Amino acid sequence: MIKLNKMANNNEMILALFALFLFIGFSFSSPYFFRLGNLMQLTAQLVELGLMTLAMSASIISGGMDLSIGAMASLFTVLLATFMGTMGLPMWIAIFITFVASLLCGMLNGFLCGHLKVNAMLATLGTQALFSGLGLVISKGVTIQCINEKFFFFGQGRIAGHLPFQTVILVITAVFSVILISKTRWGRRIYLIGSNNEAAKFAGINYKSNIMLVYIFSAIMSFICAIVITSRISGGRADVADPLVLQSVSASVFGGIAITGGSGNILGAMIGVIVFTLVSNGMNMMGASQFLQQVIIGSILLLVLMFRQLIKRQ
Amino acid sequence: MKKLRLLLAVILVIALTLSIAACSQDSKQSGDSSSATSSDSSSSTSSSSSSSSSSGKSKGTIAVLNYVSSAPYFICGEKKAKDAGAKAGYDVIYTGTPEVDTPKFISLIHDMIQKDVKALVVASGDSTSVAPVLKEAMAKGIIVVSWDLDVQRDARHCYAGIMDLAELGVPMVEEMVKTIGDEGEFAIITGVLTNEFLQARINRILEYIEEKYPKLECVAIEGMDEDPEKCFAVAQNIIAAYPNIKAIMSNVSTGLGPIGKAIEQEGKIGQIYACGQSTPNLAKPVFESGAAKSAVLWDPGDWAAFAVTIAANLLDGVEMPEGKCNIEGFPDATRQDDVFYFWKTLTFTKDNVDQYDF
Repeated sequence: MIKLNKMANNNEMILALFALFLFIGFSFSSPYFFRLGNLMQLTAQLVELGLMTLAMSASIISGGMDLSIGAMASLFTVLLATFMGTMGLPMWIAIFITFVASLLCGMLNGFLCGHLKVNAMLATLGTQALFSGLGLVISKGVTIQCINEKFFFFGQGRIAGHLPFQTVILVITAVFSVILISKTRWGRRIYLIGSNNEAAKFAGINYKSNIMLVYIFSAIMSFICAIVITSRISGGRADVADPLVLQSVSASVFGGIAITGGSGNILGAMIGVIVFTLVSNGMNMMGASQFLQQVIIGSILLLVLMFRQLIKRQ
Repeated sequence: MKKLRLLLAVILVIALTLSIAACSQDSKQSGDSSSATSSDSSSSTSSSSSSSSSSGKSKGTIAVLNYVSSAPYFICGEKKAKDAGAKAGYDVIYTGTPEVDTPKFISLIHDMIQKDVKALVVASGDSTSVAPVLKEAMAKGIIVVSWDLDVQRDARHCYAGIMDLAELGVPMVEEMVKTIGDEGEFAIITGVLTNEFLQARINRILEYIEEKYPKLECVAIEGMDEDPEKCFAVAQNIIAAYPNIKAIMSNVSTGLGPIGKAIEQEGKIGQIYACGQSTPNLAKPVFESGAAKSAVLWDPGDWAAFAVTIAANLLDGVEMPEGKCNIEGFPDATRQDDVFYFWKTLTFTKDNVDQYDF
């Protein structure tokens, strides 16, 4: 009984059990779900939302919200496709230049939010328009094709013929992020900044540099996401990652990250991504309507938030 | 207190179990089983459930995937697509992403591959993003047919189209002539001036007029950049600049409404007419105001049904020769290499526009 009560207090444990419950439920509900091919595909489907959720979670924990991650990732897909596809640059040079571009984008967001102290949502709403516009100008509004067999491995490659390489990218990135944000001094600082900025100041924490790093981290996650997307679709488009922004906010909040900042952890957000992807894949396997999927995901999110709020009040 | 938490956890799990059970029921009624059920058009507009063959055991499943499944244009194609599938003995899953979401659309295609569908009938928002996943499907022996917007040629077995869309210019001119007669000035408002498809249609219109109605004169060709507000302003400018103009033709389905509104606002009803392409829902108010008498488009339902029929024929090995290819239900259908057309447009007027909803 004590163990059960402990579990009820552990957000990640509840979410993990819930994901397990869904997994078992879908396995019995559809003959197509519990098959190696689909399970591997399921892990591949986690990746883009997972990477964007890492980007979003860090900014939310710090008390802000980076709304430009979708536009940034889209812009990076356009850059990668332009460098490799249109200009014919070697893969690693294209990746390096785009990485530098991601650092610059992150620094711009960090400068606006950290140094100028512009409200994070407003600042990133502005940069979102800027990055989208740049993507549209460069791509002229069309998909830029990028045919590079080596590069395809990032988003289409399989290890031992089964495990999607992009899944490996997500696992490595997620483990790195969990350690970085939960276990390092910088991680603890951004939690403190997110929960109480004034207290952080009195504790001698440098707000500007730490916030700058948060937005650089978000930009790098968007960059990694762009590599996967560009490889997966063999091209770049100025709006391709836009829908992932709100989904990443939902997954972060579902995973227990407080929208007001300062609490929650990356592991929970990753389980949130797993739950959302499980629901989507499982319901597709069952032949359920896409519209119904939205209802179910919305209901799950609401139920979990209500549950959490009730626990808090108790 | 802790008991309450556990109780809440249990309630949560039960609620979700019920949700899943409900969905499971939904799927049993639809395509996961091979038992025959009839399709219900009225309740299925927003669902991705499938209908089974009306003649006993299904031969398999054809998935029709659209990149904006919430658009009325695609919703209204569901019934005819399912009926066409049932007629050929196939279940049809009619689904898509509710809004433009390329990563999710690709995931959905992957999911359909995992569901062992026999054919994919795909309307994609762009021609290249879905190419890798469609090639993967083809490599697994799945038939891939593109419809609505074509995809990369090497990523599909064939394209099922309505016609060479430049040829749509011919009925557009004919409908204009019915409204204003065969002489006088008119202007064309197109989507984007740089779009090669739209430009090809304009060229066909001008060529056809020169050949058949030489007394008609196209005095202006303007772009609206796919923006209805801009279209309204452009139409106003044309009315001011060309006092003798008799018609303004929309070269895209979203232009007729704003053109009609501009005619109405400038007090030119009965003197200048809007014509060209429009969806029925956008045309209704323009017909009511008298700013337009007809509009030309196609029936997305027929188009979806045609694509499903082509997919079923490819699966069944039905011979579809070059030229006139005699496809059941589409008497005018033609084939040129890997492109099929069914050559059927739809003309909306005040009398029939209420029969359509997209």
